Amino acid sequence: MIEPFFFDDERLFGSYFSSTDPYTDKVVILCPPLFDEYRRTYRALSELAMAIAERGAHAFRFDYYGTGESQGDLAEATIEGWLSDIETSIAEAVAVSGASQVVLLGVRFGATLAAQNSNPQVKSRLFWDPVISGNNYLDWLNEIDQILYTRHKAASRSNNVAFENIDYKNFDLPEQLTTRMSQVTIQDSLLSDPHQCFTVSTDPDFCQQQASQNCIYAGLPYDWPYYHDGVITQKPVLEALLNRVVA
Amino acid sequence: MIKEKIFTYGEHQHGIGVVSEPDDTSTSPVVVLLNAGLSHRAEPYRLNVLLARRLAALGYIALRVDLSGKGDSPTRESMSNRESVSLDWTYMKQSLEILYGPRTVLMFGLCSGADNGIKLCAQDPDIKGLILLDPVSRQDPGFARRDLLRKLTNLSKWQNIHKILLRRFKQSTNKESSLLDSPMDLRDEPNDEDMDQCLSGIVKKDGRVLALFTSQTLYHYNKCGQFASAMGIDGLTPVTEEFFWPNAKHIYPVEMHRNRLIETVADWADRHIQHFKSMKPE
Repeated sequence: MIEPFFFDDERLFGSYFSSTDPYTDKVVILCPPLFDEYRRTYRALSELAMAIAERGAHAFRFDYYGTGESQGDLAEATIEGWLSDIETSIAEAVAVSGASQVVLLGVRFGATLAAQNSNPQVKSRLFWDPVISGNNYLDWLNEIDQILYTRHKAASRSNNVAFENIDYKNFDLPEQLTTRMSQVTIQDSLLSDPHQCFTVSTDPDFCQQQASQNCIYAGLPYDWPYYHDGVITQKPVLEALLNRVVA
Repeated sequence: MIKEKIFTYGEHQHGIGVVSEPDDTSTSPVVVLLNAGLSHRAEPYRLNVLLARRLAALGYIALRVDLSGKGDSPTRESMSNRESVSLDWTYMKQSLEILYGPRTVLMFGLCSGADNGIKLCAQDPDIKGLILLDPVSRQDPGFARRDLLRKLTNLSKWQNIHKILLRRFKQSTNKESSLLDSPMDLRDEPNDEDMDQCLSGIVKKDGRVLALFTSQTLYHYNKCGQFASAMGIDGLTPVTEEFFWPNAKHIYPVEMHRNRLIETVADWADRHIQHFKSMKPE
């Protein structure tokens, strides 16, 4: 059962999924992706949280400040603030569930943020298509804006309506956010350490490139920038993550 | 910071939403923001969150809510979409009345959200305002002429006429593609009776309508004012405001388009709040 609530002085929105096993000591905290990827993965992560609870661990979802249903605007958001939101969410999830073993499950840039956390209660990290380099992520975001521009231009031609000369940005991100974002990375030492981390990827080459044993390709490729207007329901990815949680 | 609280509804209170409240709720009308397609209540692109907070700042109680089977609300089994949405609304209204007492209600919806808003409005006398994004629209007598003119003067189409004809031929020989010919086929759109009942009801109740159209609707809507005039209901045009943005896409992926949408809705809502406040719930 889902229990949604506001926490951290009503700043942040979270949802707690109580486990069917009342004796479990494990809580999985989902660190969601950002921007359009949040929309695309919402249902998949909701189903994953529910499945985690049904398979014997507690699950906790939250939105970073300025995103989703948490308070604030993106214009006020900072990387340091989001890292602090993860820390606050760990404290909240532990308090609400009574568990002491924390698993951080990060998706895309949510994985990048989760990788920066060093809370001793975090026993392991699970990543879904982690963004290794913030710089590369900004390139992806720019690619989405470029795709939006191209598609709007093509539509105006095809529909025979005058093209609007505006900024075709999916999200207009403040400079202080993009600058700091470009500096964030996931260290190789973390990514390749099987005691700390496990990765599920939709990029067939990712695990080989990382030369990492604690990584699997889920079997279905997915191009994150290209499919920006769809919704992702990657069952093999969810199964792989779920199996890892309950392993 | 706008005050927000969790909202629940349904037989077991498993239906989930979030209410944004103004400082003083004593006379506030309620705006219900329905799901757009299969999207979560916050979406698309957080539009419903930002809009709900803006409406609350203007004095409305704004509820963004997941219908059964969408976002975080569990699915109802063995029910048509129409039955499920209708039952959801019965429970939501009960929960709203417990919180605030009887209120004048406005429905906000994009795509299938607009469809559901119209269907509910046809049945509920308390729904006196509609904010519709890409709703179904009847075609007026000039629609076909304007559509033909747009196509005939489209240089790009003429330059690619061979490709267009080839694609049409392939589509005509491929029956499986017919499901996707029109996005409306994937929607449980309101029927003529719903449309007539809802919009003639709005006129009788002295309600107000805001209807906004994007490029998605070009195959059935191509002129500002067409939505109200094509209904043929006396008194509908004066209570309806329409905007036609053929450059914007259906789910507003561009932030500048979303900002324009929020400003337009907020401006309309601000101009009409005293009118909605003055109305008595049935």
